[in-house]
Amino acid sequence: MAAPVPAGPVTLDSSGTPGGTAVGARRKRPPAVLVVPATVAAAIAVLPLGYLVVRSLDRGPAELLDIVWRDRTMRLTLQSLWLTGSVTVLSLVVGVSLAWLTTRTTLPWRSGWAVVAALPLAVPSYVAAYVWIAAFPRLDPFLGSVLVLTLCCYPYVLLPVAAMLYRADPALEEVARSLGRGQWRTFLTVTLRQVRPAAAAGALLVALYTMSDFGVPAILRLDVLTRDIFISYRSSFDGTRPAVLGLILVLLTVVIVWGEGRSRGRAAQARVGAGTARRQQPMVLRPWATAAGLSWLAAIAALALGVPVVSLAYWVSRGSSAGLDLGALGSAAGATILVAALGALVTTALAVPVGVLAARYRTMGVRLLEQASYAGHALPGLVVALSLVFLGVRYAQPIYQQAPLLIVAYAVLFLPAAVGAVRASVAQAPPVLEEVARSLGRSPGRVLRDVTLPLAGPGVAAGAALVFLTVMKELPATLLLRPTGMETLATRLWAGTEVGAYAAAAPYGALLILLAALPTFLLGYRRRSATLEAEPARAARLDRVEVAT
Amino acid sequence: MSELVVEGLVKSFGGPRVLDGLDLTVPEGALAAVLGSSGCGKTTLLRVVAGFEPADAGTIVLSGTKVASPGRHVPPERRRVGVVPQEGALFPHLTVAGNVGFGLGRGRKNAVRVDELLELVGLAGFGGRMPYELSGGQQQRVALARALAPGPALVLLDEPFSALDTGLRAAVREDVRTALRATGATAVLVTHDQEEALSMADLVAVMDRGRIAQVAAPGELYASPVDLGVATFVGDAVILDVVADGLLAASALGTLELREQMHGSGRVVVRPEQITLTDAGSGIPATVTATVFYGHDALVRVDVAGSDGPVPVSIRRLGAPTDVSIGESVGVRVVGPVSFYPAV
Repeated sequence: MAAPVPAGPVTLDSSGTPGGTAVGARRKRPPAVLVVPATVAAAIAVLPLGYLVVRSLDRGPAELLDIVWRDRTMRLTLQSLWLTGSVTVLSLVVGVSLAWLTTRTTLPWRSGWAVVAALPLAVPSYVAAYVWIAAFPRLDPFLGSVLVLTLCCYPYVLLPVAAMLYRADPALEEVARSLGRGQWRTFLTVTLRQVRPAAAAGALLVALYTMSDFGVPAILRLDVLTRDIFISYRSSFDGTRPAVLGLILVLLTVVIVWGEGRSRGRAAQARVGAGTARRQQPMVLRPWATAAGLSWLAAIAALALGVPVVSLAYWVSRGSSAGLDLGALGSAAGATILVAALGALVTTALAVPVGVLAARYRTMGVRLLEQASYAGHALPGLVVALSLVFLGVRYAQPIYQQAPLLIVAYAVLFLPAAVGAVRASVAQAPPVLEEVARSLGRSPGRVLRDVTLPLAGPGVAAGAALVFLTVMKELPATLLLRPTGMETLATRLWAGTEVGAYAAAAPYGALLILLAALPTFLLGYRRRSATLEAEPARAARLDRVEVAT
Repeated sequence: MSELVVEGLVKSFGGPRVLDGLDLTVPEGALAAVLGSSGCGKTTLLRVVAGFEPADAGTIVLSGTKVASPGRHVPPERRRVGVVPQEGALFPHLTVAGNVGFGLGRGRKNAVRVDELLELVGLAGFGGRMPYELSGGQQQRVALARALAPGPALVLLDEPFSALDTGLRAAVREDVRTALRATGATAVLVTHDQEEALSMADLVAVMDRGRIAQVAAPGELYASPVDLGVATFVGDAVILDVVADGLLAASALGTLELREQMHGSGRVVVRPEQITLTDAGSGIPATVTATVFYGHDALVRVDVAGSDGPVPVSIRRLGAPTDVSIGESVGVRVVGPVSFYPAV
């Protein structure tokens, strides 16, 4: 009986009971309307990992172990670890120093520098790699990869650390000063300790990105796991070796993600309330320190932004004098928008049931579904693509190298972001509104349609937009799974770097940087509006309901 | 007949029982206030009656229909129970008219009904506004109109005035009471504010540790609380040791008149406004120890001589206590009957 209760007296059925349901489970059971599609989404999310394991064992465990113990495998693994470690440490140094300079000192134009320092987030790493190899063709593979990845990744450390420094309670530092510690000792013993959880969380994101990255080592020709997986997949029909290497890579990323999850928990505990009204006293820098700080900021900005901009400008101008192929650019842009739109649509559709369940029902089963849908967070794009290629070749020939398989890969990779957006926006809608809707005669399914989704709509849409823009610049999965004959902006750029046609690739690089800048802007905007919406009374109510249920 | 009958209701959230065999009957058309301190389980009672939480045991009968009993849990959308939550909880994506009409279908008749209800709560012409354009008091009225729109058998109000400031609260209370009367709806109001309960309700149920300690009309509850706990919870009370003999009892405040025949030692509850100040020399001699001025009235604290030393007594008077000074000797007298509780 989903019909709304009419105004006026209602006649119930003759037994006097308006069809009750049995009180079986004490906890509210999640409705099947959500559980069934959520299970489908979770199954799709874990499919590539599952098939990768199956495929690695294709020739039996002995062959698998044989590949693992080969010298070359060891060398590749060590090289991947060495690259990841170097990039992570350097990103920490750059990220923390820039965060401190832009939030806690009297450096001139601090707020301007803060924006500039975060901008490299908008340079896709493979575009940066292309820019550097085009400018310096003799760049050392290892040093070049470390340089490019550090310049692309340090904002992952900078942003959380700057946020922490910005809103940390000044009372702790004041207490330390009043207890007789000097400015520098206070900085070392109190301030740095406060930012440690944020820095650790950021560093692990850097590590995850570096370990999974395919574009930079591939373009700069550094032998790490990702590049070798791609090459051996291309050069042989035997999929076992790339599958096993992929499994090793996944093992490493899973360890990083596990560490990240742990550090995030601790960072949340260490966080100080957002409502600090008082601001910290910035540290007054001597003239020489000001000069040193400004030079450091300027040097990083020149390397991370100046080099790409100048190099792209140079190659674009050289290319256009030779004649810009606008037709190819246009069709690549069109294809990119098409697959990105499809990817965003499918990913969001799969994410809605999982996100709503995760926000509203906290049973064991729901937690399992949510965890499964996050699998893509730990899976490198190349590995997901590889696994789906194998699957497609063997079981789904008709859709192999067709759009559907590519869209599935996007869904697996970006489901975590979409589920997170849905979950957060549904959690912001107070559950009391759903209860009121129930008491006014709406069934659970209609409450979802008439109340929950309209309220969560803007957040879900923003999540979809973010997925759309991220898909547009995705490289490895697009490269391996795109329909025959289709070229996107990313694959065009890739093709150009492979043959050294730097001028032809330049307009694609410039367009990709512009596209990648959009989510940075969008995220910044969303964060601001989220704080505006945060109503203390509503939050308190949410807490109370959470405790009661 | 839209009577609410709750019997033996039990609810726990895995820990101790929040509702512990609760019984409550609210006659048709009455406004009952469930009064209790925070954490006594009153919001849980409301959520179980609304159907948001299943009961562990016990029955809930609404308009002669069992909506909760062992093995049966009628979902909230089939109970015909309207809810007015704290802070109103209007749907932020719908207009005022959209909110009020949420429980109705579409159609012309329903538009008329929405206008009727807005008029009833004093917000005629506000239908096109969005919730954020309304004041807190207006939002509460819309929430009430929304709950009343489908013609529910019962309306539940969960501390609906606690988010309003004091001045507004009294006005909104009166409007809500008027609107409930006009529709003849049976209603249960949950509150921790005794003044709110006593001034609004036809029936006050005092709740303590998951049970109802007493249900009575406000005047009766105030005059004859069932035990000393209820007495001190509902209003200020002076508690005196007495020895009863029939309709009279001997106390530090002299001989008191009892409501019922009693014998033996026990305690009585005297309300501060039952005690008057007289000149020294008449009444029971007392010494003023403090005065507290509240604006509309004031408390004068005095000590009277008891068998074990001075007994503190509070006296309520209208206006400012300018005619008494601390340390002054006065006389006191008790007017009217008092309630007696035998010693256990």
